[in-house]
Order: sequence, then structure tokens, then C-alpha cells
Amino acid sequence: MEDNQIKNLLSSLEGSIPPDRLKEKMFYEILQSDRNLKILPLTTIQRVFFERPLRAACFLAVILSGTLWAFLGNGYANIFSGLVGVR
Amino acid sequence: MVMNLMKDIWKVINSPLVVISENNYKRKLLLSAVLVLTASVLNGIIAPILYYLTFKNEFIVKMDLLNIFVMFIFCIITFLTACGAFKLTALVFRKEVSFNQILATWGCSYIPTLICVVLVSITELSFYYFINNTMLGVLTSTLLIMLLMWKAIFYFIELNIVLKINGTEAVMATMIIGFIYLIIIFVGFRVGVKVPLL
Repeated sequence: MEDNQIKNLLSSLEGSIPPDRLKEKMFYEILQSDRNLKILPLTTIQRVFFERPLRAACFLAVILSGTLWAFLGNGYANIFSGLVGVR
Repeated sequence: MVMNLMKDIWKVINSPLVVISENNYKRKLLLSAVLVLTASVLNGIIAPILYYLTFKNEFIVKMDLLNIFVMFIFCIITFLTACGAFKLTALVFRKEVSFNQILATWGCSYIPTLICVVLVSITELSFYYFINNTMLGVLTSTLLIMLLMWKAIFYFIELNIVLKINGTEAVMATMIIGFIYLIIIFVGFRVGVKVPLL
């Protein structure tokens, strides 16, 4: 959180009588949140892949698998299971 | 505690960024340890034993307990080496990331690995069903590709979010990490590990 934002937050509290230890509590929360890993602003592509990775992976896998199946035919089905079947 | 772990796993599946950016190291480290140990036990111990029990009457298969132990230890070493590769990359590009932070976040990427271990074991143990069955073969292949993609997305999350490496640096970092991974995969196959737990 920026310094200005903290100042604004505190000045907004000045008018009213804050409940006991409210300011300390807010300060603690601000400090805690600041200690979290800072995530830089994400690009659109990053947002698509990073926010819902499972959905993105499923989408890509279906497209890739369909394309490979179209090109390789039934031989595609044996590639991975064939590799796995022999120890 | 188990419920909290299940909730964390669910969170990692749905929105890993929320878990990765959280401040609670101990909780993330615990989650990582549980996932890595589970994957290692399944891949290094349970899968070879099940393979032996299933095929001992059909093929000439031996159960080498020492090899099973070596595989289990190797799975854990693989995880630590993979984290070491990230730390090395962070040092090369002068990024301030602690080894603990990498351990705690990279462990989250073991959910697709864990599912992959289960899938490969099922395919291996019941490969009679998969031979000449196109639909099962296509389904398995699609699932494996999906898991690979999921893992790759976790890799880029680790690189871009945790290590804060982007653009050209990411390409160079991938070359460094990729080289180390290739060595791990090669040694893993020599030891007998079927799914490299990177």
C-alpha cells in the first residue's frame, strides 16, 4: 500500500472516535498484507493461464489432442499408452 | 488439519495464485511436503509393488526392495534438485527469492504430477484394456497432455510470479532449468523411475 493511501486512510479515521486499538489493528493488517508476495500486474495472456490453469490446460489439451488425432489417425491413441505399457 | 489441507489443495486447483501469494509459509510448506511425499510414495513404492503383484504370475518380474527404496529417495531428491534449479536461476538473474519460498510454492505444482503418477500406474497395470482400444487410448493421451500443460502453467507461474523472471530472461532461465531437468530425467530412468517427479 502506498504512503498516501495509508495517510488518507488514517486521516479519514481522525474525525470519529475509533474503537479501542482499531488503528493498531489496521496498521497490522496493512503491514501483514505488504509482507505477502507481491504479484506484478498480469498481462491478459498471463491472466488467462495463471488464474484458472486447469481450465486453460483442459482447453489446450482438447485442441492439441484433436489436432494430433486428425493428423495421426488411430496411431495417435497408441503413442502414449504404448510408451506406458512397457516397463 | 486434514480438512485445511484438502481446502488448500482445492484452492491450488482452482486459483493457485491466491495460495502462492499468501504469507503463510508454514501452511504452504506443509502442503508441499504432503504432496511431494504422497507422489514419491506412490511413484517410488506403491506403483512397483502393485506392478509386481499384478504381473508376477504372467511375466518374469522381480521385486527389488533396495531399488524401491532408491526410487523413493530419488523422487524426493528430484524435488529438491528441481527447487535448487530454480534457486540457481534466481541467483544467476539476481532475484531475491529464498529457497524455502521456492520449496513452498513449487510443491503446489505436484497436484498434476500426482494425478499423472496415478494415471500412468492405472494404464500400466491394466494395459490389456488399452491395447486396440482407440477411445481409451485417446482419452488417456488427452489426459496426459492436459496434465503436462497444467504442469507447464505451474512452471511459468513459478518463473513469472515467484522468481519474477519475464521475457528474454525467462527463455534463458528455461534453458538452465531445462538442462538440469534433462539430467534428472536421464538419471531417473536409469534408476527405474517411470514418471519424473520434477
